[in-house]
Amino acid sequence: MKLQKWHIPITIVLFISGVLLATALRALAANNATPWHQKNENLVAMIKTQEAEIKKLENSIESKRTSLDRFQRDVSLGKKELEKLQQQLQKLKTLSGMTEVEGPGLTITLDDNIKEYEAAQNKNPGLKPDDYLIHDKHILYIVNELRVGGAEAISVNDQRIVNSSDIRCVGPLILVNTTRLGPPYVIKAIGNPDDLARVLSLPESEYNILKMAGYPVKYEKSTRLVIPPFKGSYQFTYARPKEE
Amino acid sequence: MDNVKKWRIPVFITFLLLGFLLSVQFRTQQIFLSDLSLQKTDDLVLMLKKLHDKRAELTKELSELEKQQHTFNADANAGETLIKGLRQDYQRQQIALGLLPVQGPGITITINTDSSVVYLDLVDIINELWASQAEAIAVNDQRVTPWTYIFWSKQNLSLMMNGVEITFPCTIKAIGNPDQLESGLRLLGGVLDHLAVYKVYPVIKRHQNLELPAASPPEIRYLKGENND
Repeated sequence: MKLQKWHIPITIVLFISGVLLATALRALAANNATPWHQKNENLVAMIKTQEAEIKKLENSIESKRTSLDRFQRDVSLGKKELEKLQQQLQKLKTLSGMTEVEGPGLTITLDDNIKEYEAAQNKNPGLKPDDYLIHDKHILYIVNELRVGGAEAISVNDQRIVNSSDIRCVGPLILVNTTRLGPPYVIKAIGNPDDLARVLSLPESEYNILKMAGYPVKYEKSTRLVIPPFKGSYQFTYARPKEE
Repeated sequence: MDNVKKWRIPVFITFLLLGFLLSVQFRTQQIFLSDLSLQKTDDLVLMLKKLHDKRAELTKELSELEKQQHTFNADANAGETLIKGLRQDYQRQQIALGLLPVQGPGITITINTDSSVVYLDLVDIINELWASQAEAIAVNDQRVTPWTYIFWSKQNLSLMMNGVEITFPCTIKAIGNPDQLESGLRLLGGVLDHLAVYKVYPVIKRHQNLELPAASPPEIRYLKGENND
């Protein structure tokens, strides 16, 4: 038989095939019989346990992060609300007299008419001083007049006049916010000084009546007055917000 | 041409076989690579160590997140308490300023005639009510605020409150202890005695529940507080 041309390539190909087949079989055989195969099984089990644990951890971390995220957003919203509320409250407190305030306005000084009383007493020794003293009503009406003039804050001898302030007398004593006051009485009002002065100069104003009666009274406009805060508290036992 | 044709078939078969063998070899190799138990022990130990480290890190991270959440919860509770307190305070200031509609027990004072009543009488009545611990006052359903002013109009000699005419019969409502409010007005030499001199006899009635409207907030132009300048 003559060596054909195609015999050579087929021989090479079959040879390579044989080598490959042998390698594959050896590899397969080796896999099942290597001595370190057994030893590694423990390690693999440990690795698998670790991997499972890690997976669990990763899951809980993820859910925790999501909830924290939501939380942080809520908290920052709450903070904004808190800030707004604090601002609004501060504004109300300024209005309700809980803080020291300042602004332009005028200061009135009232005093008992001691000079005229002494003069009158000389003529009439039994004369009572009542008509020569500053009374609670004088102060009460002047405070109302200052409000007519647009006063935004008022104090009498550094007692802040708030909505519920009462001005009254007990014997010869004048009480404002239930605090005893004595002459001279210094009334401060923050507002437009000209508007405030205009009301005081009306003929029917209490201030004007005192002035006409000869009491030592005066007022002074100023560009900056400081009025101290109300020292009392607002507690409500009977009044409650109207139910809708 | 005949020659070429003859060797084509066996070469084709051989290559087919070769391809098959190669693919088997490759798959074996794949299994070999992906199966942990077939890796070198050193590599596995290293891998285990790394996993161990990673797990420790994650555990630490988780405990930090938990701590953070705990703090947040505490903060949120504190924040809620704070907001609740602020809201209460805010409401109290609103009531004090007459900016919130309120209800409660109290008295009404009705003045049926306007003869001889001057604006100062109203100032006196309101002052007496505050002195008797009134908590809220309204005149003809106008709430009394720190800016309330009572005056008179020169045009028609009528009484004015905040620039609005006070019409008669005029009703003053005050929330507070009814007994205390009434006895304050009836004090000897007090407001009612003074009005009686001018033949004005207001009618006082006690009520279990009075409703007072709110005033609108004032327009502030000159006042400056600590924080709002």
